[in-house]
Amino acid sequence: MAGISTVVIGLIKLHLEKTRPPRALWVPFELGRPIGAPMDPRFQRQVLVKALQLVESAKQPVIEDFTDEDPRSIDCPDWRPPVIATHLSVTDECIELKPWYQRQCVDKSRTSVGVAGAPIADLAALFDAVYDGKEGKKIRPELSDRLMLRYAIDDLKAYYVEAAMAERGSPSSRQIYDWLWQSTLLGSRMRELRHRFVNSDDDKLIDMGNKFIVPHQWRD
Amino acid sequence: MARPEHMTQAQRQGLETLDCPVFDNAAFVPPRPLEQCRVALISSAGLMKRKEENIPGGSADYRTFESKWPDRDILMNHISVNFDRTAFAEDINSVFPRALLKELAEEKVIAEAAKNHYAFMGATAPEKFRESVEQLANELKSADINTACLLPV
Repeated sequence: MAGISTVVIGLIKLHLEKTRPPRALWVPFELGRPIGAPMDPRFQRQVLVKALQLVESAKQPVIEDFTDEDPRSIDCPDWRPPVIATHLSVTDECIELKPWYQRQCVDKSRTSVGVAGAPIADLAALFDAVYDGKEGKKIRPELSDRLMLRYAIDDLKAYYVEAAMAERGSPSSRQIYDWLWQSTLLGSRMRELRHRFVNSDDDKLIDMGNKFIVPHQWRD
Repeated sequence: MARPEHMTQAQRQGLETLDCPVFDNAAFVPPRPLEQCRVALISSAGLMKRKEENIPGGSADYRTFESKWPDRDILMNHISVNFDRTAFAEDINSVFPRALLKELAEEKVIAEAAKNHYAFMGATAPEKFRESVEQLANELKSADINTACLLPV
């Protein structure tokens, strides 16, 4: 049989309706998780199999709905964020969060921290320097300062997210991000830095502030 | 949830007004039984291998993940900050379900999980992908893959 069948698992129904791929499964999950609930292989399998079964469909184009909600979109009442002191620098906050982060790495045998290609202490120091209006250490000279800062911020967020997941329970993303953006020094300083960037005279900083630091839902 | 009513107005507007390509002749491969499918995953999550070069924003290239490459050394380098990353941090199968697909092959639900799976950088202008997508399609054909599961984030 000739040809490669395609199946799309799409999160934005409007985009599926506009692009009309041959076979698509729309899933009602939050952006960023097309297969749904983390650590729930039974649920994930249902999603993947339902999508793949569309290759048997003769109807074209077909957009089918996956109607079950992601069970992990519900807040977990047992989960509590790490209890940490108030710090004056992100560097110190990272040091205090280290045991939580390390526990999560051991539990999952994995970390999603790493896109910046540098130790978290160096990335926190860079963030602190930029926040204080100083020139940070050149960590990867081949990258522009802005790109290095972007990767540093991506890794710092991932570090905090993983530290938050070390606590008992299965938190929703909303719970983790509530804590990150509202209760940590990193969260408040990222929001402040974004304000500074978008109000600067530098087009590149404005662009960075508008796109790469704070997600829409956490902007003030 | 990715329902418009749960998004901020700015995010909703951005998604609703996004210029989507329209294809007059979307290729439709006749139905085939699931148990005959040899499946490759193609993500647009901007996935990269740990310690590999970062993916520039706007890149149309793709990265290849061989079956031997461990999940623990796959990172997300996507340019957008406007989607959940906690699921990826907790369990890569929520985004790039290589292990699940392998299980389906072992249980004969599908014929085979591909030896290689792939990832593009999302948020790249669709028209830039033609060359790399043609290259990937040829690669899939050479590997005797007959089904591609596309996974946007």
